Amino acid sequence: MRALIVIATIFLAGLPNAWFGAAGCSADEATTGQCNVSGHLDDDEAILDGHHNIPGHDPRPGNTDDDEDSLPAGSPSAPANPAVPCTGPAADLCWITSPGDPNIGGGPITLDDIAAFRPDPAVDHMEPNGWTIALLDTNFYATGGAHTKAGTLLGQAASVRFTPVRWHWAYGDGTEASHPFPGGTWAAQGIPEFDPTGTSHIYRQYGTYYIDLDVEYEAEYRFGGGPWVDIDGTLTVPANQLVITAGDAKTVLVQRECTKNPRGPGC
Amino acid sequence: MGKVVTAASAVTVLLLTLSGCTEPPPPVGSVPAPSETPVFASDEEALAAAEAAYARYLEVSDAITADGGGGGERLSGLVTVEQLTDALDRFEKFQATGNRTQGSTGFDSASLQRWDEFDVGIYVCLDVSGVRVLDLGGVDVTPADRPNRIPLEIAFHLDNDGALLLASSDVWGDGDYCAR
Repeated sequence: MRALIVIATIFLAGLPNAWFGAAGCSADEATTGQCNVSGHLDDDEAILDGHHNIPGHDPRPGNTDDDEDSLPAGSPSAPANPAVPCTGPAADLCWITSPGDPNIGGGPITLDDIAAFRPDPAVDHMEPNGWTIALLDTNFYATGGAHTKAGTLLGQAASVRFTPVRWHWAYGDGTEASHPFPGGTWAAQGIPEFDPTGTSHIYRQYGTYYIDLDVEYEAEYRFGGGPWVDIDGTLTVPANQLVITAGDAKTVLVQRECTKNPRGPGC
Repeated sequence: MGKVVTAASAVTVLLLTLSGCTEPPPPVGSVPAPSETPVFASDEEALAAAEAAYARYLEVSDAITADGGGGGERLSGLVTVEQLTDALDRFEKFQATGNRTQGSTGFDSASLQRWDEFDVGIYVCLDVSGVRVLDLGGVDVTPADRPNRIPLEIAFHLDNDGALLLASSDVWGDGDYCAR
């Protein structure tokens, strides 16, 4: 019975629902070559739907897509158990449960297997904070870089290193943007306030908007002092949600007077 | 007393009014009652039953495509009504191609995913390498890029007689799981 629990844990923890619904394959379709079996983790749809990949870590309010695939917080990763059936789709995990196996550290582990390791969510920021002026640039940037999480992978002490590689903003006004960099403050970039940055956005209409940020991570793992091994695919984790009100402004409070900062906004 | 009756009537009216806003009760008998005893004695028994049901399904599916897609209703009693409807659609399209298959579909590496009194889920590696698609003239028209080994997650529903009806069949993981 324990073997069943192990398999079910792996199954429930990792797989996006879109994977199942969209990939029907009956025997007759298989014989006539109509089943596609490649590259699901690289599917944009699966990746961007981050709350499926990271159960229980979607802080966004209003996310009603309750995850039946969620694990309770602190769920252990799959325990080592010689009773794990070394057949079927989980077969490539079996060798890991055998200490001393020369293959350890070099075998295939998919992102599904490391669902118990969760990257720390990035933090989304905005300038100005909480308000902006329609038709001017609002600067968004994220903090939170590469980091390592220690824990247990299939019963063995292991570390997983997460490296953010892509930042995907949904600005709440129907537009989205994906960048291979997290952006930074105006000051850090030496750019005047309300000027465009690589990650800034212009709201065209007055209103209140909710901004979501999803960060895509690459991951590597290692056992003990072994080498880092890449894990196929990427993992997407939502950051905090921001709320902004875009309005008109006849007067803008800026950091410094125009005499001291002639390049400031409105000067 | 008269006031009590009036109050009771008012409550009744209120309840009737409120009930108009609530969901209609589910139809009686639509959900089988949970059985007191487990359907299977063990995980092994559940897996064996699912494997046997899947083997039977493959045999019939192969027979239908070998006949060019005719007689799809032979799957009745082996798959759910929804699956049968979908399968009949596919067989009709297959019939229109004029093609037929030759050979047997196999599977291996079956492992149990879950089971309860309503469903059994298993993983298998489906193997279609032994099946060729032939056109009317007997020429092999098997798609060159056809994956021959496919990891599938199969779910069966248990009907009232305890028979396992194939309810879904979906690709699981990427092709590596069943690579050889």
